Order: sequence, then structure tokens, then C-alpha cells
Amino acid sequence: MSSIRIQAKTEGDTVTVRAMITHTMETGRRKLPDGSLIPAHYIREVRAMTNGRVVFDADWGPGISRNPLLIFRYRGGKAGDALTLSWTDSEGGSDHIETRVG
Amino acid sequence: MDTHRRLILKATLAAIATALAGAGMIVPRAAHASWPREAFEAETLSGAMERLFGVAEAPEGAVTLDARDVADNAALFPVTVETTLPGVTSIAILAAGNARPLVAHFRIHEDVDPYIHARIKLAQTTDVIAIVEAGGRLYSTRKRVTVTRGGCEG
Repeated sequence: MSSIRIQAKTEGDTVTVRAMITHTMETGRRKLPDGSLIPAHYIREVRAMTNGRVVFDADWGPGISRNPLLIFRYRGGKAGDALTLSWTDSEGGSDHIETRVG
Repeated sequence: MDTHRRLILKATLAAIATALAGAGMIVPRAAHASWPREAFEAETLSGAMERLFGVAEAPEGAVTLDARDVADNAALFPVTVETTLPGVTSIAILAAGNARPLVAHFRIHEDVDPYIHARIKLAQTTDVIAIVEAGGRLYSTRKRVTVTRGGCEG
């Protein structure tokens, strides 16, 4: 089951991409009732590519909210293009998804 | 190397990397630094700026930061950053009052709109700062956001 839900839609010459990633984005500064810290666990790198070009390229810290939503727009895409979104996190986790631009 | 030339050099390298990536010749991430740990671990706004951009602050102007004045939910505060400046190479979001002020840094590649929407955590009432890197220069805007109920450790 993918951690990523994504939608890429053409609007004129622009493709608008909306993605929601299921991820705890734990800062490492929250405490359990017994006073111990919940370990940090957050997405660090997010990348989206289409037609051999990078259209989203982000470095994140734990200040991004849990279950991050991201929206970005690029030009020069068209319906039917493949678009891949991937992420890696602070614990060596990762996921990716491929979608078609609509 | 002075800061202005350093920014131009970084922008040029980024442009070259983007062009090569577009030709399918390299994996873009290999052409520039990995996740900037020192910048994300900086505990002051000026420290984060220095580690990310090489300068402690950027002049105000030319950047639109769309965010509410009051954060109802400090763990989930939406912000939108955009600009009409040409030649944008990156956008950064910082929260001055967070334990680690740098929240995110987005590289803007060719034919990508200089537009970012994100949801961020705010530790307390603070200035949210958006930085745009364009044409080898930095531009910034800031907005004071009030956190009403508790804060979110960022």
C-alpha cells in the first residue's frame, strides 16, 4: 500500500500536482508520558520527475507537518505523461509512486 | 569568495545540473549537496540562513507569503509562497521561533513555477520567513503569526 496519494492535472500549459504523503514527521522532541523522547522520524528528501526532468526537489526538516501535503506546478507537461514522486526519510525509509498526468 | 559570486556560482551549477538532468545524463541529486544537515540543525534564524545561503539575512521584497495571521492549529499551519521574479532557483521557508528555524528548502528547476504550498509546525508565536533565491540574489518576506493554543515542537 503506497504512502502517497497523488493527482496531476493539466490546466492549460501548466500541470498542477497535489500529493499527500502518509508519514509521522516526528520531530524527536515530543515526549511520552513517562518523559522519554519519541525518536525523530521525518521525510528529508522529496523528488518528482517527468519526461527526464525534475519538477519537484525539496529538502525537508521535521518542521513540516505530519502527513505532508504538497502542491506544485510546472510547464511543458501534457496529459498522458508519466510522473514519479519519491521520498526518503531520516530512518532510511522511502517510497515512490508513478502516476499519469490527466 | 564573496557572497554574490558564490550565489551566482551555485545558481550556475544548479542550471547546468538541471540541463544535464533534462538530457537524462545524470541523476540530479548527484550534482549538488546531499540533505543539508547543518542548516536544518541550526538553532537560530541567522545560523540557518548562513548555513543554507551563506548570508545571515536577505532584503525584503518581491516575495508573496500567503498565510493567516493566527494559527488555529500550530501543528498544521498552511503557507503559500510565490513570486513573479524571473530566474528563481530556490525557495526556503523558516520559522524564527522554532527550535530549528529551517523548515524546508525547495529547488526550483527550469519551467517549474516558483510556487510552493506547504503545511508547517509552529512552536510559538513567531515570524514565518520566506526566502526566494533568484538570479543569484536573495529576496525575503516575513509575517508574524500568532499561535493561540500551545505550540508544536519543531
